[in-house]
Amino acid sequence: MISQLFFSLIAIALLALLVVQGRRRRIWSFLLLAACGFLMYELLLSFREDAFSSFVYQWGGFQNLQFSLHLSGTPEIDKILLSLLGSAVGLVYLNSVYWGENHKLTVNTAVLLNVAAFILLLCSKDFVQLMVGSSCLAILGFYLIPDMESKRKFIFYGFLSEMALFTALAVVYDVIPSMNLQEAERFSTIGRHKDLVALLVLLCVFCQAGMLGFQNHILDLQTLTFNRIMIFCLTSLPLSSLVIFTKLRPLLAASQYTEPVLSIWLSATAVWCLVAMLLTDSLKAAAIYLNLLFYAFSLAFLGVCPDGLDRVINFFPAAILLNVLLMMVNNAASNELYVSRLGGLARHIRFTFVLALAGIAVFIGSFLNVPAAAEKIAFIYLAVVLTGLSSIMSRVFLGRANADDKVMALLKNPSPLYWLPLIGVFVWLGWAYSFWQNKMFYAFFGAFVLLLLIAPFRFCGRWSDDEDVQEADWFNDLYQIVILAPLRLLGRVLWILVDFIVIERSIIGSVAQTSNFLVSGLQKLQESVRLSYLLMIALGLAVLLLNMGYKYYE
Amino acid sequence: MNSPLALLSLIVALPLFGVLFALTSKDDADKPGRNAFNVCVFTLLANIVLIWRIFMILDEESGSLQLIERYRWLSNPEINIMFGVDTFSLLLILAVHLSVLAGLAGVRRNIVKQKSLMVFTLLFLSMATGFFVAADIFSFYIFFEAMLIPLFMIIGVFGEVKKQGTVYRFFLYNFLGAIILFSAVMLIYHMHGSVTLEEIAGLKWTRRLDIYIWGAVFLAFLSRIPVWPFHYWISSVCAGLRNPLAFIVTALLPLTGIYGFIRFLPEPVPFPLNVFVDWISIIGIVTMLFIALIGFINKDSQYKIFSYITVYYILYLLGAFSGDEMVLLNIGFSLFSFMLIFSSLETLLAHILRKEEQEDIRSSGFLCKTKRLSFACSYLTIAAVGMPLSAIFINNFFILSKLLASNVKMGMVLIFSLVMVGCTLLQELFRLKTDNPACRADRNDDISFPVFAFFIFIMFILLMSFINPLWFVIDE
Repeated sequence: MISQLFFSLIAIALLALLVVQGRRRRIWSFLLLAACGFLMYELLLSFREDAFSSFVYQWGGFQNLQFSLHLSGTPEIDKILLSLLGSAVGLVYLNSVYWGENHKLTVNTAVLLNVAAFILLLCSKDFVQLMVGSSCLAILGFYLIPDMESKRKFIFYGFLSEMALFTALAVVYDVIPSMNLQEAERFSTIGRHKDLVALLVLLCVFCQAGMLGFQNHILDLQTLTFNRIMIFCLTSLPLSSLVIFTKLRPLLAASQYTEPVLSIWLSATAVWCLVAMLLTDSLKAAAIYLNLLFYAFSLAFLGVCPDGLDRVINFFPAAILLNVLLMMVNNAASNELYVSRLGGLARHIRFTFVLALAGIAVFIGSFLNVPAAAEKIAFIYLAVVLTGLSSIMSRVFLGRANADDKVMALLKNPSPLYWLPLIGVFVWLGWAYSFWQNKMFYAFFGAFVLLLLIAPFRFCGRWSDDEDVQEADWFNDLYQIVILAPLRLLGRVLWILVDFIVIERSIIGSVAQTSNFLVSGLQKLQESVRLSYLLMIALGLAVLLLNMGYKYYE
Repeated sequence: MNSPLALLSLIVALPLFGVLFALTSKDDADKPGRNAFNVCVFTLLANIVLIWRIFMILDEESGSLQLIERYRWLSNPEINIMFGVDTFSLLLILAVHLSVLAGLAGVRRNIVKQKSLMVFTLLFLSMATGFFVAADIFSFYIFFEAMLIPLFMIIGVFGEVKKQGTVYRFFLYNFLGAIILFSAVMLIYHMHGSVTLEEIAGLKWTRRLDIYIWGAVFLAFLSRIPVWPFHYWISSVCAGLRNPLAFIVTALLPLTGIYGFIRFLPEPVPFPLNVFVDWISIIGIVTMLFIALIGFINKDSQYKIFSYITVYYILYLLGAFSGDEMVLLNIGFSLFSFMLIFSSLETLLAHILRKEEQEDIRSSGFLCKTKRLSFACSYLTIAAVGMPLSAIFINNFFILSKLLASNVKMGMVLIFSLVMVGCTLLQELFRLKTDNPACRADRNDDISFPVFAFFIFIMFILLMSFINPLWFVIDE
């Protein structure tokens, strides 16, 4: 089924690309949604019947450089794909009904292609397929971003992550030497440069997931619409980081530095995201920080549960839910993006407020059903998210009304196109997790409501208008100062010093002067026939004597 | 295996016949040089068909030279001309032909001395083909030097560069390289007579002769490769060239140096050759880093492409030093894609630069208004930096894994240079794609549909080469 799904997704995407310029794009968009739904249904049927297909195509290689296209299903793979396809169907639906998206069909096509690339990545059994899948997600992400500056940052980080992965696997390949991912386990026993490989893999994962220090390309997504932010964060390059982290776990485990680096980095990311959420004034930025927090949590979860990728993908609907809640607020307030220009909305759009509360309850419930090893991580994650979210929601729904008259006059609850499926998702997640039986659910939800009411971080609102805080891009400045400026300086110095002074002036200049000297010397010799005659004889004799002396010496 | 139809001689001779046709072609008053251009294109296409035919009868698995053709040139002293190919050299010949074809797409509207340009291009092509099919030391030397003559004319006449300085540097470096190689060839002939390229690696000399001959051979090949300080002539030539065809044929010259190393270098590398190899590896790595850094800060698009070419050529050179047969095969596959990519990119960038100079259109933001150009440039740049859109991706993976295994510190510097040069190309792509109100380009400034179709064909070849580098070979 996996292979059929993969090729069907590509075929549908290609068909959609053919009609993308034509009329009735909205209808096409819904047809595409129906096709996705059908594929999901088929996958579900095959999953229930335990019909796991096998598809291997040997597409390249020679001698020990063998690689194949693997699209074989296993219960785990099918389960992961089912969850992801479900999330993708939800995103396609959301994208089709979202009024702010002008290129619905193009974006939906990108979602399908992202899922196809994810299948490639997930089913990979060798290094080449893994790298190809990851690169495909990077390339597709590039076409999903309309803004050129964001594109630029995205492709640079994508390129950096791909090169890190490429280098790590190149080192491993020579040691094993096999392309097979399963053989990577041998690296921990016979490998060299284990720390280097582990750090390169972590660099790749952090770049793709947008962890602290490598977040600029993800933060720049604020220029995108809400639906694209969701699609990008939950089906594109960051998703690849989870698969790579899982698949290359043996390489990471080979180094003693992996655990401490991972713990420090993910904790730092969580703290930074929390502070940023408290300080930010933009709903889009808040959505992005929530997604980054989700990836930090997912990586930490996979760190303690190496086989837990299926569980992490199961969290995706809950992660999407938070984005949808923020998007709903934005839509309700005539597309107003800034928290400081909202406030007191609970009195005017009660239904939206209730929906948001219900959504957060479902979100909390989704993260409580985790293995014991990951319980602490889940609790920390929930605490961080709820603290940040309570600050924003308290200012938006319960804070002092700052919205202008026009926004207040046009406040509206979401249409049934949004809330009906949303309630469906609530019911489904509630049924799936039965979270009301868990005491921790009441503790977290109660704490959230308390935070919402007392708003302990409302003082952070004073930085809402501070451009230095809101526009701060410290890491970009840091890279400019620490990396790019010295490199540019070095390049300029080398260019001037080596090319112009050493080569042009010294080597080429001296050769030119030597040839001039020889030419002028020969000219002088030609001026006087007798003198040149005597000189030539003397020169000949000298060569003869030298030769004789050398032979005698030998 | 012997050639049934003297096919190797034919692919060397065909461009020479093309020269005759081009010289005698009638000049059209409206489109001067158009007929010569057509002759050049058809000759190239005919040669590509012949090369394809040779691929069919070649044994891909065999590592030795095949389809041997031998001609007696002089009986006393005995000098023979010998041709032979393997998959590696034939791939390079095909890549040279396709690269020149891409360059021709960039000069098709040229009207100034077009006929001469086509004549010299065909001459260069014949000599370059001769060089890659040369199977003995004399043929190798003759073609190694002979290709400089048309190149000298192309750079001097059509380069539109500050002629004296650039041509002087070109002459200086290549002339010195030629003299040194000539002395080495003479010594080899004196000691062993006319030897084939496959025999050279196994020849034995005294220690002193070893140092002299290998030193001379190394210097001669290095004079072609942009390794410090030899990079200077090629950097000053490439940075000044505005004619894409001239740029491409100049940038193909380092290939001859690398090919020379691959053909000459014995395995395992004996003393004192290993000392040379170690030193050149160190200098190569430093040059890579140095050129990558300069390319990163340089604002000239041509220099950026030059820095990309240099870094990759040095990567291939270092790979060639490993002597591993698998690495060499991967270098061949990777070089094929690399040459197609840089020649296509150069042609497209030259189109933009020409518009900038002739019609005073700002190049920054040019790709926003020109969809075809934008698509082709994006694809080629992403393929160039090593994404899985061409054979470079897999083959470089293998080459880099070997280099990292031999010396991880040098390997990391090498990777850093590759990242830098990749960023340089991406930076240039985004400069061209970032919307700029001052850029007055419109749809009319885009490349024409036939040219776009040609580049789509090139992209198709690149993509297919990623799936299978020898996808076009149908075994008989």
